[in-house]
Amino acid sequence: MNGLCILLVWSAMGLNLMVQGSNSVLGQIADCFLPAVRSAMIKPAGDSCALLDDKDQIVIRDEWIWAAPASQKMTAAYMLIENHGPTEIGLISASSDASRVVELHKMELEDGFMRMHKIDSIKIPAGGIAELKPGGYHLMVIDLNKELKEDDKVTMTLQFTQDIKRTIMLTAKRRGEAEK
Amino acid sequence: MTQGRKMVKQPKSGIVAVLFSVVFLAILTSENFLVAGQLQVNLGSKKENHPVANFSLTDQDGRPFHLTQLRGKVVLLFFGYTSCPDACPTTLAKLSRVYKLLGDDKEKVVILFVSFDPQRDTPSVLKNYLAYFHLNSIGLTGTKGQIDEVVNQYGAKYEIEQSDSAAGYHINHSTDLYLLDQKGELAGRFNYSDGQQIIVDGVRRLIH
Repeated sequence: MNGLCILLVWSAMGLNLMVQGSNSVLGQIADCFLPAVRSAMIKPAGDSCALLDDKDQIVIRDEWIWAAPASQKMTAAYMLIENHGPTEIGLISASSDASRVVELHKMELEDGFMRMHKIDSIKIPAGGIAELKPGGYHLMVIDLNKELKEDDKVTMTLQFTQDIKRTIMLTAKRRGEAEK
Repeated sequence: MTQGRKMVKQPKSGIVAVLFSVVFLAILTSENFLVAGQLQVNLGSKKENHPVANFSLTDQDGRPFHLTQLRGKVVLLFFGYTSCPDACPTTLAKLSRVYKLLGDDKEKVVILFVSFDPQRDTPSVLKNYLAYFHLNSIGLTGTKGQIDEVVNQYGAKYEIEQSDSAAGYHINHSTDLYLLDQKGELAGRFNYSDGQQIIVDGVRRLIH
């Protein structure tokens, strides 16, 4: 295992020299896994030799949460989750500093009738994207512990399969302007 | 004997099938009409259980509310609940955009939000919730019986679903937005996917 790590560090360093300063595909590849290799170099030799940092594998963008008055105990959060890895990943749970519970929910509109379901996971296919948006998936934020004014920040930790965990900062949008 | 019965039954089932097809086609046609976002003028008078031009509930200040109070105003009415995480704020967000587009005409329009959830939506909860949207809106609640009456009056639907969610129960519901004219008569109905411009056009048709 350690031998494999050394080999990878060596080859990555070589690749780094080759593509230094360039924006080529090779450069991007190197950028992708060099941080992981560098951290492996700093760390004392251990069992783990993760090539793909979870920060590279899962990219979260366009994250936001509906603002909510103090009287409201529930709200919803949305985002896009990209999976740059080679295997399917599932979002399986979430938690937030702004509420007691966060759940995964799905909305389904059928003949004008809107149904909501609590679900166990949101799958993000390899090389694909999961859209959490109004009318589809959302993270249901239950038992808010504070008012969420426009531009307030909420921290949320997302737990994915493969032991991937990400913490993100969502901005509250005032209802009425959050959507186009 | 058994064979004879079977023979007699066949034409009957044929008639039933034809009748079903006719009803089904009629439903399809009316749905398509709605999907196209067309304004259904005087829809109420053509329906069997058409809404009478009044109902009474409790407003967001705890006072009695009668639809007759809004004579002379165009009303956009819809049903929801404040714990609704997705569909209701989406509709209210759309109505905020409708308001912007209406310009000066917005003075002639009132939005009514009738709660399906009297247990959680007290008048003050409704008031705080709606204040966030900066609309000329009134939140309405009442006893379950009073609310159900209004729900049935407009042909809306809802079901309270107990789930294993930490939120306790949630409500599955219809998402139509009802347009009432200055006399309180049902003048049109918009569906969830109708954009703000279709709603603005419908409102303006009643004002001008």
